[in-house]
Amino acid sequence: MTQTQQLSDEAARSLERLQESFGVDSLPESFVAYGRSPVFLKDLMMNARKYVAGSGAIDQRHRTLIALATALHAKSEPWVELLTKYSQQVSLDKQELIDVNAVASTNYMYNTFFKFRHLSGTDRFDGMPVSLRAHTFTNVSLDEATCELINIAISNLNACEPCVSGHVTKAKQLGLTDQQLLEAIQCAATVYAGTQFLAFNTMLRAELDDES
Amino acid sequence: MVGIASSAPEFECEFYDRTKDGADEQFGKLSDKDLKGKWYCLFFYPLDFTFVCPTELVAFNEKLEDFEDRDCELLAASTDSVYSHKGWCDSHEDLAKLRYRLLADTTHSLADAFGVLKSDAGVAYRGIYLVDPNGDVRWFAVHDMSVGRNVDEVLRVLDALQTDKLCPCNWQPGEETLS
Repeated sequence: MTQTQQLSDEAARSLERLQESFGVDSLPESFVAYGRSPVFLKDLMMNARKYVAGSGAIDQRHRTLIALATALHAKSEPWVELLTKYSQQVSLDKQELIDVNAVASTNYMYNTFFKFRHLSGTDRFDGMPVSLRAHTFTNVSLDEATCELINIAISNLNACEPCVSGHVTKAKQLGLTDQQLLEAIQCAATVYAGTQFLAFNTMLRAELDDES
Repeated sequence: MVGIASSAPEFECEFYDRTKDGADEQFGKLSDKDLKGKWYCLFFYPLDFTFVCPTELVAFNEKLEDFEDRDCELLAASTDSVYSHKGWCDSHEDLAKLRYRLLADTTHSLADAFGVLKSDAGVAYRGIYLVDPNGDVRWFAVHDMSVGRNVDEVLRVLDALQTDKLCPCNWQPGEETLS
């Protein structure tokens, strides 16, 4: 693979550090594409070490759930692969992975609804019932605070203003700190940027491969 | 005396490099000019063969990769000689694995220039400095003799200095930053 041959020492080191931070035996194959931009890869690795792998204001398990929800949102197979592999190390079970999917997907339903109501620029829908069943939020194995972290991350990615502000209020009531909420966004931001680079690289690949 | 945003002093100092132990390169001279264009973290400790110091030196050693990730050269200094540094590393299981250079400030000029010389004892207070690629001191802290330093705190500060400033994208050593 030509990409492998092009890896600079700096890029190789960053990939190694990235792999080491997730403690996995290998990174998804397509991650070598990051080597095309050592500077982006370095940012990604440093931010992933700080906000995705390991723990900070948010513990390792919760970070992984937020990261996975983000990777699912981005429909990034390599990132889902990495994070599901990593999820075993932080003792997440299969049911929790299924529930991340369910909660993230349910956000799309509510985000779509509330974003419309907000964007419509009128209050004429305000009194009307939402009428969309969403028992998922309360009937999954994930606790309320965990769901709120995912809700905030996904609602933000979907740019639903009333959803984000509502979930931030709820999260604070549940005792989540500002630092934790910000870290959830930093985690999602890191993963989302990582997924976009791979997707954009795929689009550019034909062009770039011709050059080399 | 060193202050925030002032230039770090010019210096030239002998060092012991444990990673080159036994080879000619184990001893050498380092000057501030060798460090221009990169970040460096310099910390002083009072004396070789004492108690708090090895804990600290080892803690920094364990996080060396984190400094490398941030393109930051890690250096430690005391007023002991390079031979004392070597002897200490030889005698201590964890220090034997030391991967950054120890400066030997036998003339006390380095500690004096950085403002941490305890002149009545000829040793340095526990000063720590983060110097940017322009050679400017961006952060420092000085503890008295008994308190060790927290490596994670140093990395946190370094991150803040490296990321939370508006750095021009094409910043080159020697150019002004946008602070």
